[in-house]
Amino acid sequence: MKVLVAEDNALLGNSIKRGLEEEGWVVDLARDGKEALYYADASEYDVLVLDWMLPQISGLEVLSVVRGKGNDVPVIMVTARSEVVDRVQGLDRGADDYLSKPFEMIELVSRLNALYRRSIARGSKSLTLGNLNIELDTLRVSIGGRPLDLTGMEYNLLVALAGKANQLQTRTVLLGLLYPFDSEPDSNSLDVLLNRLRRKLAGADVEIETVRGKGLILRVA
Amino acid sequence: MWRNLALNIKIALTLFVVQACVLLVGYVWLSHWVQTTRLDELRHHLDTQSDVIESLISVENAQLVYQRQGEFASELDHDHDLFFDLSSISGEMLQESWGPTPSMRKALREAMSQVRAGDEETFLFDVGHEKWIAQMGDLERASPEGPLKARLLVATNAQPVLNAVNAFKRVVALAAIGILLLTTLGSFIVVSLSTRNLRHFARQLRTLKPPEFTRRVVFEAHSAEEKLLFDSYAQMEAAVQEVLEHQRLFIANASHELKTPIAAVTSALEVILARPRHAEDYAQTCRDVLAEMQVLKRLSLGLLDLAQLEGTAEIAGQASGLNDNALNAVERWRKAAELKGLSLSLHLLEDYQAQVAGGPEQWEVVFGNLLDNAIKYTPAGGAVDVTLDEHPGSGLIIRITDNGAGMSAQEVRQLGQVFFRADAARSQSSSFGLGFAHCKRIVERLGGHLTVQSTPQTGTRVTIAMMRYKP
Repeated sequence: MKVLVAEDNALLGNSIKRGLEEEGWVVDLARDGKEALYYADASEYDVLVLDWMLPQISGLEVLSVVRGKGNDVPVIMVTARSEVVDRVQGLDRGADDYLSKPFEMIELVSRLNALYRRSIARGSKSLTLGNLNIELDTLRVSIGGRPLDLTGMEYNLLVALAGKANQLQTRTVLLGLLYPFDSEPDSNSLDVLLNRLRRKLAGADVEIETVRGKGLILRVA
Repeated sequence: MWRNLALNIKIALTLFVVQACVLLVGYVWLSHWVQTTRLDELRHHLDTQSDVIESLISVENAQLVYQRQGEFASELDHDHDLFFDLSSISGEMLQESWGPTPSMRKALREAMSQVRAGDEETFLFDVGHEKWIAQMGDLERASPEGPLKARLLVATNAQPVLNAVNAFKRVVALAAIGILLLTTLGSFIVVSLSTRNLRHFARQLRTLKPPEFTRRVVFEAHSAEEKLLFDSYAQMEAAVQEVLEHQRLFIANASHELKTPIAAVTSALEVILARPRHAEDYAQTCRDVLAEMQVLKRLSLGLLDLAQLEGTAEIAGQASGLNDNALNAVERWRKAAELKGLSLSLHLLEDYQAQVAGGPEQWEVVFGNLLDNAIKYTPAGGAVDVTLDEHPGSGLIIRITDNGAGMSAQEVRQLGQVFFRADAARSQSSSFGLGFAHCKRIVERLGGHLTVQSTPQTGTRVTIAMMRYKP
């Protein structure tokens, strides 16, 4: 659950970052359009939140460039413009949703979750793989009805793998989705995390397989 | 009333009246001419007949007698429309023609005897319902008994001629009325057709609704006047569109600038209140929120000032002393400059009475904003200078110079346009832009001109050129 927030107002950007982090998201914050493009290029995100009027390069242009590169990550445009024409313009360029300023944090969070659910579980509120059940809204995980106690990072890793079950996920993508852009995760921190998650998943119908030198696959038994 | 009439009715009416007058005069003249000519011809004819009749009178038995025997003489004698009467000088009737009926002859004689007093050469007179024309002449013949004198009256019926003249008059009158109606109707139709485009255009303008003010149909001009009108309207339409676009951009950008701090404050408070925090956490959020509220305050006050300036009808009517304005402003900002460790100098005009348009309040805003910026963007140890200068002629120059951070050429270009720019990529110092836009607008409305020269790391110079105020 990693999101890029591009917002030039420092207080608003920091508040969104903090609010989303407390909801379990990993957040990168870009202060202008150039930075946002750089982040979007260099890292992996589940969702982008772009302010329409960013310094340097506008949010709309950032969106065009991202889509132009074939990146279909879900995007929410945040705009103070309330004219229908403007919204349509945003949606035309490939935005998935828009939010008009001023908004409530709870609204941003629920829209982010909805977009995330759409990309991970095709809109369903939960992801079920055999006896493993992940409730995407409440972040609760259970095996055969038995609740599982996962840390934020473990949860994020599980969802990142479960969202693309039976598909290979490279270590780079996984690291990108788990850690903020500016952090430098230890090379074996992913393995430590993986070992803890594997232990906790004992008894589940899923198994995380390591493909040497390539990445990980979550297989459903 | 006349002004409100449609052009087709106006032109048709005017043409009708003018033409009616011309045709009436023409009709009267023509009728008169025809009647006179025909009557003259008749008189001439009468004259001839009178001569013929006179030649047929000879002396017989010491009497003047009309010779009725000849075929020609008999014909004259029996002509219904000809009457002659030969009488002695004393008035005793000698002989009369037999053409008209006896009762007619009697009536003719009576009528002629009444008119004869008039002593004219020829005369028109009424007989019953007819008009006759008569001529009287004395004749004298030599005879063995001495000269014989008699009076010959010849009259002819003028009614057939007059009837023909009347018939001609009727035809002419009918033709005139026909021409009048045809040309009036014709002009009405022609003018209606040629103003049709204008009427459609006017109707189209009526359907224009804010906020677009755009016509659905573009008219093709059918005359130079229409082209002038349509082109002028198109020009105005473009200007209105530009203003509307300006306004739309202003609203879009202003709403971004206003809504973002509101969103920031709301989100910050929502996040901080979402769960229990440390005291320092709350304090930091309060400080952040306060700073954001200051931005919001500056912005909203700036916007209100700008809106108020646009809503004020006339600000150039007042005048104030330029030296006083500069002196007051510099005194007000001296403390802020000293606190920042800047030197603030002022060079006044020698002419202490020099006045500029605009009241002290407007100049306070102009000097205040420019000095605020100069002080804000000049680091400690720098200098800010205000110089007033006279320009040859009646110009006055105000220069506010600092040796601070300066701006790039692009930043200078974008100054004051923060709220009017089309591209969404924007600088962050929007409140500065708003204050500057306000200054520039005031100076422009006072009839002055404001320019900015700036070099990064070297400083900025704002120059205002004004004319001396002449009441």
